[in-house]
Amino acid sequence: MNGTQNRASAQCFRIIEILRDSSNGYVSGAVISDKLGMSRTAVWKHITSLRKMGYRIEARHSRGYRLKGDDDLYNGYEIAGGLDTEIIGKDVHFYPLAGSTNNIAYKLAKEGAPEGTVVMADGQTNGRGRLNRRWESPPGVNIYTSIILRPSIPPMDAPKLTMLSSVAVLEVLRTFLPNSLFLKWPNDVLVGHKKISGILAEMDAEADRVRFVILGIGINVNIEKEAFPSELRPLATSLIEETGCRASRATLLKDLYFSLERWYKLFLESGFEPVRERWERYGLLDGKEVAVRQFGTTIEGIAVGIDSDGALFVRRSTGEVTRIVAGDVVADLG
Amino acid sequence: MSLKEIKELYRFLKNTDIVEFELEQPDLKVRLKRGVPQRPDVDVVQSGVRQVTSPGVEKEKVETKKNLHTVVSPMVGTFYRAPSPEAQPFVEMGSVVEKGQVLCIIEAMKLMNEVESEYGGKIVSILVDNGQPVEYGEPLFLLEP
Repeated sequence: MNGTQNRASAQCFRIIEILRDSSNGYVSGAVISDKLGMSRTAVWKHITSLRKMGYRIEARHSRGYRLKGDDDLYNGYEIAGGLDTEIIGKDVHFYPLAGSTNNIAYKLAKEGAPEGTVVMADGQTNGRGRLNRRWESPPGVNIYTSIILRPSIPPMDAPKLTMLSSVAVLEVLRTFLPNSLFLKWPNDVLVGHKKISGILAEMDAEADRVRFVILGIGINVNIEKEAFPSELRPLATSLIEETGCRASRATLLKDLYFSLERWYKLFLESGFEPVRERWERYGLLDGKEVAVRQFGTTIEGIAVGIDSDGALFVRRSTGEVTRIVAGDVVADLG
Repeated sequence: MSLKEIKELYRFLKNTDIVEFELEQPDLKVRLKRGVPQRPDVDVVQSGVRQVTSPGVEKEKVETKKNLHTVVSPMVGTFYRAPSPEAQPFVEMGSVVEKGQVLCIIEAMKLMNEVESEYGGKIVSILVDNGQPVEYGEPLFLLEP
């Protein structure tokens, strides 16, 4: 975490530590203010901001404060605290409610935020996907994060990072769903026919140099089917829908940052081939009939693989093979 | 009319006996005239601005570079003039843009690249249609400083 958020959080979390130490009882405001050398008003202010972060803190007159459960606590401190990475997540910006984590990360990157800075939000009011489509982002249930990378690669190699991200997401989710995860070109993660994770990347580049890439990743974790808008129900799923179990978002996100970093380092050291190989193992489209919707046109044919840059090849009925770098792939995945 | 179309017109006329050709549209006037040396003059007036005057295609390219800034695609992808299908284009013909202003988006594999203008100036030509594929280094816009 950074800046004022960090300093305020450090004080806040000392309160959490005190409450956790006496998890079976109440701690009075006076005791906390003594232990931390702050006024009782300051304690109350911190309690208020902790509640905003999602901590369920009960306050009883004459008894004090009590932490109710420790369930899936999700904030910057919980993430930065236990993160075993060198680059990704070394600077964590947490928002209880963000407009769009990608927009925030883009702005931070423009202002010079270092590689590995991450933005994470409990919920988004303006979560978005490709071509400004809405990404459902209710608070309290899912992962919404954007990662700033500054790779020394030419801009034309940057799209490979989006496929790399989908491979990293798949790897993390595979511990829960070992047999039913697939990748849809270029970077959707599916369970059966339904989308569990979406990735939208944005780049700022000069003609020959990447200034930064923002990897925006949304994962449906604990959202239940009924919480999706009805039109999305046939198309979207979540971890809890597939496994029946609530997962810790904090643990999942830390695993995701770790996995992303591992693949990113491998990509910088060994190129795209390891990513491509892994992608192909889970890529669904080979030999399938597909329709690729682009602006105003649709290309129909048989998917015949991806090339060394990750572009999709579609063989059309005329025998002509079209190389596709952008578009919506619609396929019969049955 | 794009520079590409003008070039096509030029190539077409070169193979005919036509000595002089004039086309007038509300915001554009093109006059192609073949002079005494075998090569024709290309005289383009666009939005009231004298854009290119040169005796041949080769020199025309050089002069284009000298007079106008060319914004090229930094990667292979799909060219979008607006952030979403419903939204207004980032720029139109004749838009005056500042350095750093977003001109378009190039998408490849769900990586969206907002292409910013490296110069301030006026958009005098938009060379690619919305939603079309573009190659690395392909000219997208011509800017008059």
